Amino acid sequence: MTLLQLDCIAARENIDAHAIGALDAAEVSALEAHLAGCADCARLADQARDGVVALALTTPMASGGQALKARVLASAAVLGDVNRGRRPSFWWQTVAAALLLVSLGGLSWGAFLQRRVDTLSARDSAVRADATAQAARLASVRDERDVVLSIASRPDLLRLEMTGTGAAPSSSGQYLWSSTEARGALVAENLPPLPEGKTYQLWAVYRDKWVSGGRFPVDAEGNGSVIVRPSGDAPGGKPLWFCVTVEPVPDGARHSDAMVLRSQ
Amino acid sequence: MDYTTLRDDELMERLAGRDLGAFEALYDRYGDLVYSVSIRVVGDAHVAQDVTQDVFLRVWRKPDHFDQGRGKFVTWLLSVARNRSIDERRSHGRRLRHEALPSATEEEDVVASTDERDDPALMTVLMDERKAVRDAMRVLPPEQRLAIQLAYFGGLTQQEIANQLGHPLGTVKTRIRLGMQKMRGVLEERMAKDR
Repeated sequence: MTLLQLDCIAARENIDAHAIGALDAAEVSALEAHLAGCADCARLADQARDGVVALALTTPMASGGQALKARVLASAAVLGDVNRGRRPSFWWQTVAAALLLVSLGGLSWGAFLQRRVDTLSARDSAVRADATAQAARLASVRDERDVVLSIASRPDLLRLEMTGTGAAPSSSGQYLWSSTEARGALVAENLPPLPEGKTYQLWAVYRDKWVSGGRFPVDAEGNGSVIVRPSGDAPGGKPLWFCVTVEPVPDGARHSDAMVLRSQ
Repeated sequence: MDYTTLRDDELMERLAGRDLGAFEALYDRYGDLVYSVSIRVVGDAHVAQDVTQDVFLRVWRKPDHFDQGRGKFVTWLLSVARNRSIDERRSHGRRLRHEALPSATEEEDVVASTDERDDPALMTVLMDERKAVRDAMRVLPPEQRLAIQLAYFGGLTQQEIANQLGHPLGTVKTRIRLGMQKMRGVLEERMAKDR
């Protein structure tokens, strides 16, 4: 009994220091061993831990600014599907991982993603026979990644949700645009497999004109992306809406009516 | 939907449905607070931005990690932010701000600061609590306050604080224990008055 009382006294002397992280590793181990077997001390430790968080409120306020907010929201938007259980495709993993890697700098999460990118790159190199084509593809993905990152980190980022039409009800997309960057990006998911000789094309629809935003293929899972740059064909003003259509590979003079995605 | 009228726990429930509007509302409410804690710990704006992004993306990716039964969301969020910031500071091998221990004067300036510049979204939630804690800290003897702050914001152990300040370890332990007890007492007294 005496020994237990002494242990409790010693433990309680350290509970506050534990709560603010002032114990060294050996002291933490000793205290936590005691807490594991002493409900009263464990309750006091919980109370101390909950209360000590209020110390954070004493810090002078600083602002991360709108740029940081835009960066956080853009990253969340890009990661929107992480918890949906859908297996991301190679290009999407690469873009998302690289985006987050750059965004998070040297953080551990970034380190994890770096390893993932490295693993994917290594695996990709091993399984693809056409090394030249693969290098070109990777370069293209990296270019897209850089552009998406640049756009997504802009404070004036605009994000448009695109939903699938009746021809592609499970498809979705996000159109990102930054006026200061003067560029945009479409990231589309779950598009139907393309018929032979066809490709997808993004359109900005103005009152009297459809302006191409670029053509893009999709991978085996229907995911694709395209970087949009200002077009000299665009009339003045803002587009009314955006859409994605299926078009013949030989570039036609006008759009088809085979629409699969449309902005809301 | 006016997200500003929703409680934290209601916003967190919406996060499970990948509601970016709810996420933005939480960031508007607490983004600057998380950033403020982080920059206080790591002392570098760029690292603090990275930490803030990491903290909020963890919230976005794993909203279920917040257990409503264990307390308020802001308490949990600040705990994550502080711990993540300390980890980051340690991972840099103390090459950040605390490579050189902040002076007592510097910490005094922080506590004595009359800076009440706060964004409205935050203050509607935390104004009273923040004022109470700052008032409680101000009544502590400076040496107790310094020891607590070096541990909480500096991530230093009692032994490291003793070494840095050149004081006996027992003295530092006593200052932390008494300081925390006194602060808790002031806060409890204030809460009792408010009831």
